[in-house]
Amino acid sequence: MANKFKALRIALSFVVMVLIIGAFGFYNVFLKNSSDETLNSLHKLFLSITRMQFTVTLASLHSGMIYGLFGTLLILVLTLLFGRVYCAVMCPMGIFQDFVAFVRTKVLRRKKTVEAVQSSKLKFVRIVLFILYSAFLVTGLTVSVSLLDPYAIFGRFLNVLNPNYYNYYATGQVEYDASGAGVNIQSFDTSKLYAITVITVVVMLLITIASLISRRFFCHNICPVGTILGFFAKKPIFGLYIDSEKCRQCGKCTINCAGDNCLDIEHKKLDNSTCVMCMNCLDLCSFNAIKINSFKQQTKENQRVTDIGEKYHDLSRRQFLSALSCGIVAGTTSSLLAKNNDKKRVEQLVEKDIMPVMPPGSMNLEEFKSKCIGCHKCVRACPSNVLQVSTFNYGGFSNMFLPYLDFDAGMCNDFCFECIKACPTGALKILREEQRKLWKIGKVEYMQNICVVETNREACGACGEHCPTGAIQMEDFGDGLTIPVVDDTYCIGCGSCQNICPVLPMKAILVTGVAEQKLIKAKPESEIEKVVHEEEFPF
Amino acid sequence: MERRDFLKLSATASIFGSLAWDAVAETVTKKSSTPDLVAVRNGSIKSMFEAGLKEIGGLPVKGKKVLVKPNIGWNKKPELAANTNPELVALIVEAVLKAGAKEVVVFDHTCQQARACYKNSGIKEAVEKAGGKIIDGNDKRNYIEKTNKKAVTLKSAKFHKYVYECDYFINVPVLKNHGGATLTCAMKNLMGIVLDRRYFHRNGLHQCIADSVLYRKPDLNIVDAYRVMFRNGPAGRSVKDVQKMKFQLFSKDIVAVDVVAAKLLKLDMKKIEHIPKAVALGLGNDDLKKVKIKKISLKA
Repeated sequence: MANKFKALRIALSFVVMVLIIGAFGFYNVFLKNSSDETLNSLHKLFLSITRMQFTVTLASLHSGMIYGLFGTLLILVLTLLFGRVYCAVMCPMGIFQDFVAFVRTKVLRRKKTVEAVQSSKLKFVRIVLFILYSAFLVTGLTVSVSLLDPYAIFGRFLNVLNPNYYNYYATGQVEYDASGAGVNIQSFDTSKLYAITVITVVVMLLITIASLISRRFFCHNICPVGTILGFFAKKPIFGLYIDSEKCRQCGKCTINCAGDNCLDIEHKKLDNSTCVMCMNCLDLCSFNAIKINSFKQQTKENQRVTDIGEKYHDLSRRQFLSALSCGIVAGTTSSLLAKNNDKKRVEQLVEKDIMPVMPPGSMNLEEFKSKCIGCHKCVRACPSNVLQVSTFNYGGFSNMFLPYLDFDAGMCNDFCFECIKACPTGALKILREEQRKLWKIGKVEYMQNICVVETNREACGACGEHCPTGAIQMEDFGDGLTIPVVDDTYCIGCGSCQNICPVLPMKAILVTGVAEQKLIKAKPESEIEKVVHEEEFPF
Repeated sequence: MERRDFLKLSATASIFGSLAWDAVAETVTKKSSTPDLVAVRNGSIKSMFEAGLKEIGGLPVKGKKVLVKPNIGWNKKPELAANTNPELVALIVEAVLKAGAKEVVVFDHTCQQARACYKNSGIKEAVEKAGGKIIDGNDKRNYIEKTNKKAVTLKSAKFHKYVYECDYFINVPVLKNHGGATLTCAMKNLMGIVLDRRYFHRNGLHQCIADSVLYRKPDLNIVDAYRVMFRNGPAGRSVKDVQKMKFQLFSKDIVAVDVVAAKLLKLDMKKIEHIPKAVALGLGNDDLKKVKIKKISLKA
């Protein structure tokens, strides 16, 4: 029998991979020449594929998004029904590892992987990582999710692969300067970007090497999503099983097994919680001993693998539940303890004018970090390159990977919704057009003593030119010059002024973050004094 | 005198002679018919454009590559008059093609996101409909380094390569008030063919604006003053900043056209320093008494 299931898996995972790569490479390829309709439909397509990622659905629960609940339940029900099919076809990291294995067997011609890597120490590590991850369910321990979630890791990796991004990180140059003003290389600090790039590349390299040794090492020893789904896949209603009557214990089925150790030839058992449904074993078996069958039939014919207990790789129910509750308790307590700390830290940052500006719709740091998983799809989507990746900008290790606005790199135009539209978790609240125009995300500070108008007695006005709200007004300064007069009440913190300010090395006008994003009132417009000419041609 | 020297001398003489003859011919025709500056008012955009173009002597663009450089700096709708009127740009593109040009290219190095600016200004659609080609003004790879010894401050800068590829350059600014430079019109519009605008602001805006004209002087300037932003420029905040003046200016003299534009906005001439600076560089004439102006008032 030709292996229809395997073919289906490969076809589906191919489609998913193309869509995920599309979601991250989207803007480079399509932004310049496509029509609005094409862009919008592509947008929806790419958004839906990223919204189907397990951690994204969990994070969406924080934002009260209905698809969060729906998605979480759907994935769990699918897992209960068919085992870890999610890991087989929906997870980009899983697909990537399968691809590495494909390269190894087909190109490097190394068939057999080493004996599955497993030890009690690795299991311990896995439990700890799972506790860290489940802490996110209650509160925002963003960094653990960003570091552990396969989709987030893969998203960042795709960002690094992007040639535009790479150029930018390496040289501070962008190939396509959409904002018009461009990156002000002299004042733009690329060092922190190197840090993120290095972390991403190293993590990805380690996963690749591990995958060359043991195909899905990451999935079985690190991935918290794998841990959760593995728990739900213990007894799938329709799953793979070994017919003990037919099995001759030849071991042929283990040759290309993605689970590495889900097949226990000695006991003629298949561990469904470890099996990632690669279906490779199905047509390898010469005796048709491996089948997909309903759970009822399996129990009739077989003893459950889990009954054999400790030998197996997956966490026992007790281990899983205690780790989960540990994580939830740790998350709750740490969020309660850290709440005041975080507030104080933000207050201090705001007071010192070094608070990073958060992307529009992120409300405040506490809310933002509870929803953002650090996939950096928004960073890729930003047409102005203003959205950047933070290291320690927000203060503290736990807020690493959160995006922030770097106004030396670009400006956050009040008509642009790309990051909001790209965000799959709802960490960036959807704003209406008229809201966005008056949505205050930052505050402005002007330093007249280093402004070119003051120091060189030359005309400039670049900041006033770009100010969309009239918070910067150019007023008379003698000698035919005008000087900016800045009123923070009407500033929305778009950073256009800082971006375009020609003063080096430090800008004469700086925009920094506020503790809480909010809607402000529009500046009232003064009386109209039109230009009136007495003659028909006044020259 | 050897034969070689004789040949050299005669060749040089003939070149100079022909040049001189051209110059004489030009002044003769100028004196006879064509005005230096045409100001048209009180018509529709189309009727004003047709009348003005006829007076300035049409477009000598047969078989040429033509660059039309409007202002597409801002993501604003046409009614807000932050960008050149798309209708006028389309009319120019059509006229240029009608005059037998090889190709018409339109671009601007935008101040805000290029895609949004090109679209919402209505210019991309208008140009494509009229048969012109709209190209990217924001791609760094399209810019080439140029130097000019005559320049006072802007000794070298990166210019869009098409500015040097084209044979005929039509500058189509929109007249606006400007918070920093007081006026933005023909000369200021050339900041849209330069890559690094911060350099201008950092090193004396007015001098750099005047210097930038040295690199490639437009062959024709057509100023859109149909809707004019008289305050909060150059981006503007609402339609309240805009008034309908219903003017169009045509001139080969980039300085004279800016002087007239400044008078339309009733601006203080002393503040617009790039005008005297451009005169000092010999780029044009700011004394309107010496400029032959043709004034046309159409009946609406």
